[in-house]
Amino acid sequence: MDAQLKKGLLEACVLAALTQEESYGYKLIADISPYIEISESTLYPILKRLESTGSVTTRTRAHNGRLRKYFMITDFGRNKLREFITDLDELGRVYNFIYRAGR
Amino acid sequence: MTKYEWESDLKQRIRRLPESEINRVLDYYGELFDDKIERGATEREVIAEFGNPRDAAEKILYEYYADADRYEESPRRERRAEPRRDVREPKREERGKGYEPRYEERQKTRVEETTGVRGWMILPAIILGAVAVTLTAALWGVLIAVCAGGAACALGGTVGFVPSGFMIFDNLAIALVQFAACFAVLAVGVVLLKLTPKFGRVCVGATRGMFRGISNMLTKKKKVTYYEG
Repeated sequence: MDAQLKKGLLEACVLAALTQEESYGYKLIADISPYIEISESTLYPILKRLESTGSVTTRTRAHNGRLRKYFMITDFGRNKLREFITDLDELGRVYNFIYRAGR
Repeated sequence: MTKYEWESDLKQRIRRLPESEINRVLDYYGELFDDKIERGATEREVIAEFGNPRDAAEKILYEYYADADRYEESPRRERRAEPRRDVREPKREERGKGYEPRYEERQKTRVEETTGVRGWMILPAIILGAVAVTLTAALWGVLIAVCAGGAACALGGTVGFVPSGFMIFDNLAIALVQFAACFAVLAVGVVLLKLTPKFGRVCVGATRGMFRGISNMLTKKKKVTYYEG
């Protein structure tokens, strides 16, 4: 898949995975992988970007004697996800246009 | 490749990043590693899943320098960690619950610790030290000359006004010439005296630099960051 397109999709995927509850690195990859290929090295910059733009916040919790970083979606993040869903509608129309032309 | 080798390779590739960022990366992969091991994977399997440290480093560096024109990075000098200015901090109304400021804004103390002495450097340090001391002494000598010369001229020029004054009654033409000469000497004195503090700063800087240079040659130092919280 095109890299730029994938990057945007992955950000939205992470946000989507966080809407119901907080999550952490391993779990995010496990939850998203069935839908789109996501590797550890790909996830890192996405999480970093989401955090620095305020879409997610983090906190560290102890788990089995070690530290784990948990990610939570913010209201700002929820807005971003809503915006992306609006984009998806447009994307759907473009998709149909291309799909029909390509067959 | 072992976990240690993988991490060391990655660390080497991102060494130019600020220490806070490097730690963040290592924490991230360390956590993922532990989670996978906990679920039954072997070290080898996990490292294989992580892939090539080069690719991981590429992604990290690419993201970090996304606004490359804002970062004038010199490869030789270590850059101070700064919060990213290209990224907008969400306004108060936009911040969700549990908002925390970015990593870089946490309280931290930076300390430079001396970890050892380079014994083999002693001889070159002595030789270089001798040269540096000679040059620095010369600089100080020039400074003293400038200062003394300036003072002498200023004083001489000022004092010279007095007999020139009396000369007016005797020979106006000569008096005027003498006045002019005194002015000139005074002016030279003032200029030299004004230069003295500036030159003094150069001397101090050179001396300090010399001491620091010799010190750096002889000792091994390490920068350590301590975080609060």
